[in-house]
Amino acid sequence: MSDLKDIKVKRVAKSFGTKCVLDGYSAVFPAGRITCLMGESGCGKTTLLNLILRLTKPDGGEISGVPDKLAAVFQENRLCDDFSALTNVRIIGASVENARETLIALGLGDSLSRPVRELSGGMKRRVAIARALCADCELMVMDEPFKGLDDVTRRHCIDEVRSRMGGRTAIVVTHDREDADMLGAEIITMPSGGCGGNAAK
Amino acid sequence: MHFDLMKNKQIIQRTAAVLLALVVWQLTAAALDSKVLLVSPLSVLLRLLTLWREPGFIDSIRFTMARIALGFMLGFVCGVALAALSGRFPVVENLIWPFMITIKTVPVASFIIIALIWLSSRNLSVFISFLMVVPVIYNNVLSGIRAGDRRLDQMAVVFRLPWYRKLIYIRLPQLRPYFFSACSTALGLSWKAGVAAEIIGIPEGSVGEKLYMSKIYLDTDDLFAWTVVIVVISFLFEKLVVSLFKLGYRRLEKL
Repeated sequence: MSDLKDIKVKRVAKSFGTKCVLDGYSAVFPAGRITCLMGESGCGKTTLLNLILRLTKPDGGEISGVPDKLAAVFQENRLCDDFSALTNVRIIGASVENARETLIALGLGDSLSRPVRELSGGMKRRVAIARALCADCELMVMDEPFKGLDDVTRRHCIDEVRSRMGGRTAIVVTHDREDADMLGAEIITMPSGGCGGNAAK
Repeated sequence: MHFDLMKNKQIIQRTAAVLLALVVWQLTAAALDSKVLLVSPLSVLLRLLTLWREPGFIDSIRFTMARIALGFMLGFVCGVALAALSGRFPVVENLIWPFMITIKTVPVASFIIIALIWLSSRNLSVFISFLMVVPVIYNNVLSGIRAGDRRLDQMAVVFRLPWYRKLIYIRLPQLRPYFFSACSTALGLSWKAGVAAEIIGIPEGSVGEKLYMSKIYLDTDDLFAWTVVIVVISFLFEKLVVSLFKLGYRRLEKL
């Protein structure tokens, strides 16, 4: 983890058809730190995460410093519904012990063997968080990871995420400044989307 | 509770429909009063009671079943492999398109007669079953691959899942309904086409040969009894294959 680099987003542009989402957006996400990405809905946060995860290509600009080993908590959980919570975490190559311990730490001790399709929305969210935490990664990207969790569970999950970061770089999208404060994260606020809206900040 | 009531009602209605059909059949047979034209269900039942004890009965079933099962399995493997290749490389879909269209549109009897020139009649039903199964499995599995959740594929990319984990945890569960639908259709087709091939090829000791002989000697009792045997075995074979698939999927979910 010693050769982690800052993730530099330089004048990145991205449009979907005629809809311009990012227009020359720039930002730096410091290595080994948690950075919270904030901004109003539709400003391009998820698009930026997808660009960083290399799931889509930018129309212009460049993104550097993204390591090979990635993990993500997607906006939609993207779990394998037919399989148990434990299996969903093990899918990514985590050991049984690590997967079990992380799920228990996130309050899912009673649901380890239950198929994910039987879990509530909040439980599924925690499985998705556990999967990302157990991944052998250098960059963790989390898109509103605590959305849908009740206050107590949310605080507990934030504590767990913060304590299990282990020097990895993390980019967390959130709408809640309290989440950022609890994570001890730097905050980058994205301006409103659309062409001309978020140029070169 | 409501579901159970609905299911019971459906079972009762379907049983009543079968009984009604049997009554209509019995009355029609009685009205025609000709064993050659239409044999009664009671006569078929009596013939069945003696048929299964005749020498060669089990051997004939074993002969036909082994070949149709082999044709089905080969067709299944080939259909899945071609669908996987077409899903991965669209050019493959275009390359095999003429073959699939030909298999789907050319009458099965034409294939049987052509195949009789190439193959011995003993192995004809393997080839014909195979031929009928391939496009059904291919089309269903390819639809399943195309309908797959791209978001899970992206998850697999981000977490660098190896191909075998992607297959086990993402692709196979997505294909589940397509496999069941394809198997159900393909199994019925493979039996129909396989037996038809035997009736034309008349391999010695096959169910098809028995049906052919019934026709030659206008032995309608035998013809109906063997038809019932084929329907029952085809039904049981389908149940067996579907149960094996369900068992496989249950094992998969416990991985």
